[in-house]
Amino acid sequence: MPDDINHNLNPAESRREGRAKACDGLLTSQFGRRASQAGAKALARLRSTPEASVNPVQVHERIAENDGPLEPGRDQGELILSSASGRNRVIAAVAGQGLRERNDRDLTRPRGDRYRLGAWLAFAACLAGLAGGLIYFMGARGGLEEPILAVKGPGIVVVRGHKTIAAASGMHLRLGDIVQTPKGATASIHYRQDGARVEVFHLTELKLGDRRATNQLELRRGKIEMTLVASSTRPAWVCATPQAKAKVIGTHFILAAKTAATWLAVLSGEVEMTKVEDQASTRVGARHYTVAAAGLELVARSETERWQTPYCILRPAPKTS
Amino acid sequence: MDADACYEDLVRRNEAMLLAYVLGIVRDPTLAEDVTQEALVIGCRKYSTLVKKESAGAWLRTIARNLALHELRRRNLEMPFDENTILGMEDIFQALEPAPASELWNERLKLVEDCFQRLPDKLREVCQRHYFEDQPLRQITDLMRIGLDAVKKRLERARNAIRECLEKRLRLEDL
Repeated sequence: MPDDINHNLNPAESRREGRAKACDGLLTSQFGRRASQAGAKALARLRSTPEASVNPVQVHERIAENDGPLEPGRDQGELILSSASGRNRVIAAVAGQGLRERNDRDLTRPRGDRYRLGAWLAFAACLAGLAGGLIYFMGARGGLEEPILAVKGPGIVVVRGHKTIAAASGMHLRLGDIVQTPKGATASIHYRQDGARVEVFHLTELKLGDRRATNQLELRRGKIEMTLVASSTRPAWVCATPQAKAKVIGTHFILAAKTAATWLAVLSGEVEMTKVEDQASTRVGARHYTVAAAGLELVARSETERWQTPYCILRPAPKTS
Repeated sequence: MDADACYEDLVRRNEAMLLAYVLGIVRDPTLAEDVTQEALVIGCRKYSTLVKKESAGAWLRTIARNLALHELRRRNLEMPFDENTILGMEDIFQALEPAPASELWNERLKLVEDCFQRLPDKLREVCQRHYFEDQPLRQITDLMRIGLDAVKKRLERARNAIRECLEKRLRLEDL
């Protein structure tokens, strides 16, 4: 690209340079013919309507291109919360500095050199473990407890033992099954006995636990969203990741596992998060979030404003009689 | 016109223009897509607050510019954008605004394309490779067997030649 403008330009030269920049933009846009999804995506966002129920919290996660261990002073992941007014808040995790918030930014692209997928994957792995435990517990009772899989998009597979099975909607899952979703495909797992649901996002690998004592899931990578119903007759679900262990009680939350950090946003109910590194734990209630990662203090932070984004509409867990 | 139709109309009329404008600021097509999308969403949601509807283009560009500059600052990529540089960009885009209400931005861009076609062959070839075939500069130097500085210089001369051509055709004042 041509050199940047000279800082020492007089006003006329600056203005001329501005006109040249305009020409540069017009050329780069290929005279308005460059393919663009900006308009379609904008319309999709505008048409989405927020859930009108109890203060829905919608979380948009920004997936990092590069992931790795947290480095002091560097951002290692973000949650982006968009408000109805269009103002966006960004919560960034920085090793050694904790969680920081910024305003008025909403970018859907990852920040390549700043983000480490590893940190995110670890977080997602934790969540996956929790989900796996849940599914395991359900399967132990057989029949009605077998979770049912629903798929959206091609290429989803279930690894069962040594076999890899093409997933199809309506498929019964078993303990130990590993659900793998490719890019662009999502799935959901429904536990009919208590109405629990696990939404599996794309690029996710989720293993249903194989222990029969507790509800366990193992999120090896990616992201899942869990909707659970509080029930005094069932033990709490537990999700283990390399960085943390989350114990879930009747809750609706989003958990994203990265290589070196786990992000949790609780929408309703409560999650008890324990950090593997130092066994620090904290309870994260509704409309709170936290990050478990080396170099970060495990602390639950609250969201006081009503947030809604078109990316993710969340509903309270259905009540069972 | 209901809200849905209004959004569609606003997006249809302004998407190409906004994308070109933002590309002139950030240069990165991926980032430009994100900023353009966000500007369109904000603009549509707040459109009812705009008093002079005929100024929608300039208003959307202001939103987009603020978003783009904020993002550049956040990435420590701040470009020197003083008031006069912004005015210069606005000179071109304002002059290219469709005159009749029904005309689309893309039709006005034919003026720019015409200026491009009038470039000398050497300059046009470099622009064709860089802007339309997305060839990296290094690749262009190899294919055209000229140095990197020569490629950059030709691109700069091409931009200025198109600028001068547009200034004449759009009757922009001399600076």
